[in-house]
Amino acid sequence: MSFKWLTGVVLLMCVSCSGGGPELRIAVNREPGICKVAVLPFINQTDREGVGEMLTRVVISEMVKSGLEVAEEGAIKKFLERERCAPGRCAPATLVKKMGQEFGVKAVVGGVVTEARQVGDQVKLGFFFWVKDTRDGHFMWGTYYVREGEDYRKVFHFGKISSISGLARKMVEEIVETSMERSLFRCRVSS
Amino acid sequence: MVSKGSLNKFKGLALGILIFWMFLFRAPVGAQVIVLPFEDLSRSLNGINIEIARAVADYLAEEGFQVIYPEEVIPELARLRVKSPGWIDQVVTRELLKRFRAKYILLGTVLEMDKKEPLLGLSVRILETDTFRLVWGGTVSFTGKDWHPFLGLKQITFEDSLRQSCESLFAGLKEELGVQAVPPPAIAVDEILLRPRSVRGEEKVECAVRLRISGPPPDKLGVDLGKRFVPLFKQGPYYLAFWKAPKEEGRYPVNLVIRWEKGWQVEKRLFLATYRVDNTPPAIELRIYKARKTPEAPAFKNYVELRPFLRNPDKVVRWMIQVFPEKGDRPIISQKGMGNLPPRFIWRGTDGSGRKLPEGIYRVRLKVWDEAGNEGWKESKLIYVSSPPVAKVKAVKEGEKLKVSFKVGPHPVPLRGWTLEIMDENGRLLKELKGEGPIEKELVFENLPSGLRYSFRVRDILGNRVVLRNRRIVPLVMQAKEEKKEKVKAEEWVSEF
Repeated sequence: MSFKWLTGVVLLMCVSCSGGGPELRIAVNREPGICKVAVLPFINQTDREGVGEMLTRVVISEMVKSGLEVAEEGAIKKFLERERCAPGRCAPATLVKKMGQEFGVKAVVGGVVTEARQVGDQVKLGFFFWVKDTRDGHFMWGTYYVREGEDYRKVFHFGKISSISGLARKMVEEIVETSMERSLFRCRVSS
Repeated sequence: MVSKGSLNKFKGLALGILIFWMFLFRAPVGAQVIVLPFEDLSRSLNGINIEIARAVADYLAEEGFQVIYPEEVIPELARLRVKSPGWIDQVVTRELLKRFRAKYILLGTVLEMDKKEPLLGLSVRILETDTFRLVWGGTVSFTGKDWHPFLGLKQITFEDSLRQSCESLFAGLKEELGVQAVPPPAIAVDEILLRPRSVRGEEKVECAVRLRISGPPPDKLGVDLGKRFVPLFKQGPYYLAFWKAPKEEGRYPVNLVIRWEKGWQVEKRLFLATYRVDNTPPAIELRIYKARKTPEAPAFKNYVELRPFLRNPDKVVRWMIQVFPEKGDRPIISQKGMGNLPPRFIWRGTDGSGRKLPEGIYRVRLKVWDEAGNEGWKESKLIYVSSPPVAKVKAVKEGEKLKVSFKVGPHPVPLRGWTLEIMDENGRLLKELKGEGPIEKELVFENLPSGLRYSFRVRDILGNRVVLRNRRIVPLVMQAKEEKKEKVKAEEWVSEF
């Protein structure tokens, strides 16, 4: 009787812990295997200050970690300042194209943080992540990804994420991993 | 013959080599990673955090990286008008490369931070200075809420979380960067000169150390004396330090402290030596042998043996023995020596040139100096007696009585004994007297025949003796009468003659 009860609990846990990865929306006829990118500052549409910058840094570091060539943020900031484009405010196609010429990148990454909440040890983060082609400034692929710290719980309290930065890291890691798996991002050194 | 042109060429080449060498050695060497101050989003959008940046730099230094610390970079960033570490562009990178000769720049952001919880989120990226490429990146997030120790026994601190974050973040960094971590600087002590090893309080101590240092010159080099630090300065092949010894007696250690702050956060401590503060003069004792005790002072006849003894185990480095007259400060003999004291001194009652001194009282003073220069001395009185006592015999006849008095003149040491024998004309012993101690006797004889003789022996405690053997007792009165008679004879005219 007790064994059955235990099996039931474990099954319930497995079901509750199962979470899908990010669903990527990919534009047709886009060149895969991009290696060199620039990251625009993420736009923060939440009440939480600094979460846009936080996500930008996480995206840069996770991409570098994955072996992608990423233009340094300082140079991008200087470029945006020169172009009189407030960070996180605009990313028109012309600007994206110009970035490609300026930094020799194939794609520009950006996004919008739509949700960042923390209540006690419950955290939730949602953001839109896009990649634009520097040849024409058009959308290449992207995803809207929302996760909670609870989604990563495995057994009992193990695996649960209780910080926004931890959740951001995990989510960005998943996006980059998925894009790598689908050869959207690919570098020789990273393979 | 060397032509003027080739000489000038040679001069130019030599100057070129010299300038090259000067340039080469002026450039800071070996720095690998510049750690910029971190941006701190937990404070504000423009927040800066040096504390975490320094902690990260410390960690990297421990891992064997040569690190330029954030404090060193800040003036350079100010000079280059960089408003925030997140605004590093290629020009700034090039300038930093030129200034610090570093291969990498570490840029970091504190994403979240709460020391109470504790909570720490860090995002770090490393920029290669010569290519302006991001070569490494990583994010770490650590919160106390996710920390579940066994049975909840251990509380995690912010420092723990920072340490763990660094360990997790930079695991395998060396391998990924392909950095051949330069080993930290090494030092070897070839020679230590510390003098004096024993010193009086507040006197100067000097230390000279010959070192071999492999690596950049240290930022801090000195000797740790326990309560204070004295920097070493270079003079010739040696590093020198001087200081005043503390007042309190005791043994004090001297440790060499060498620290590299730039590049490495390495401090090395090497024990060099100890020195002793000694304010106590050596306690010396002078034991006298081959002399007889007298109430006034020990007395000797032929020679006296003086054996010095140290009451405490002090090392004597210098000594001097002097002999003075009883009254006077001018030494008759003065002998000096270096090193340990001889086991004994022998004095034969002579002066420095070997001439016998007159009998009397002398003062022998032994002075000793220990390693610290403390002076200890001991003075002893000695009586030198080499001649026997002077004895006088006087006989006076009053009628039938014969008064014989024996007198021994003043002598520096007590007498040991005396013997008096009175004999008649034929040598028969009439009287024998013996005694000890001072002699001042008057003997009265009655009805004794004339022509008496005596033998008198006196001996002092040192063995000096006088023997008056078989002497005639000539009473003073009789002698006077006889003399008168003779005179009368001479003066009177005898008619029958």
